[in-house]
Amino acid sequence: MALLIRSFARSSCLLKQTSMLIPKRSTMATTAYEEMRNFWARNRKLNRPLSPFLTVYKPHLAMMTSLTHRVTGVVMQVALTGGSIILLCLPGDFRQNLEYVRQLSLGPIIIIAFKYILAFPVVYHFLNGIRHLAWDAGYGFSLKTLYKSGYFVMALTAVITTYFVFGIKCNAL
Amino acid sequence: MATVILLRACLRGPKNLLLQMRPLPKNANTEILSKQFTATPALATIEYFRARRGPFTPEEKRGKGHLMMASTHWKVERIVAIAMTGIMPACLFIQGSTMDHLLTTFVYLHGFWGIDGVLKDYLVKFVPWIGKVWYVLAIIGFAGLVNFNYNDVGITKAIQMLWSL
Repeated sequence: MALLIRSFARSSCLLKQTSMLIPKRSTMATTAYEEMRNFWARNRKLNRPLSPFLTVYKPHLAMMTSLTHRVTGVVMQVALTGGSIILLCLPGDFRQNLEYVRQLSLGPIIIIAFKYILAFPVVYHFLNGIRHLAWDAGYGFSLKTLYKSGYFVMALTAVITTYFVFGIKCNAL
Repeated sequence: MATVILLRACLRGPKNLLLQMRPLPKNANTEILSKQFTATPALATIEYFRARRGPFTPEEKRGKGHLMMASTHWKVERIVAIAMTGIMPACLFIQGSTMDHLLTTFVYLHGFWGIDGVLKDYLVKFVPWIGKVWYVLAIIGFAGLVNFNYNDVGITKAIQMLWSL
């Protein structure tokens, strides 16, 4: 009892403590979202420079394979959509347009380069996609395995693309 | 007993108390509004393209009109990808209109989600409507491919003819 009276006299935190025992609504004037918005507005006003992010990286295999995967995917889909829309607009059907290209008599090196450009993204994206699916299933994250699978995909892409360009011959149908 | 513990905690000072309610500091300016448009038209356009790095309310993150959870959508994407690991080698050996339709559907869906992801990663924070533009473009492209499969040679035949050059 005497302890109680003495602590009352010594500090005022007992009164603070009792106020906490009663559940009370927050006296904060702003919500979390408003505070976050204020943070960004204030920092934007200060016009702080952006710290370097892309330029400071030394390229490594994981970064390059992932980038190539994304780039090949985007390029293929854009080519597919764009090609489809262009085919809608071209006069004549596909056979006639192909005959027109055949009559241009482009040199074989151009045809080979064109076939490489068509085949490489498909093959690379397919093989690297299998690598991605393995990661999604939880396999192959250790750095050694990652590097091995990355180099394997690159080598296999080169082999398969070359086979597609030179090994597959289609008759003029 | 409990009173003694409580009193001991009080005597240690307010810093050691579990529940700390700190009132808002006096100089906190709660009136800052992030202005979207400024007086001159040139500055207004820059503001329009400024990245929104947040905060995103739960409603914004959920998006409008979704019937599927994001995790379920991710599963569907993986299922399409796994199906494609079977379809792509098969189209080397089997051709015909069934393979045409299979290829078109799966490849196009996969590519649509891919570009959607890329746009969401890089562009949507600057230009929020770009996702809708891609949706419309993709529908037109898909219509073109379906038309190609029906009224023209079809995609497998087209690749064969292309390779005969």
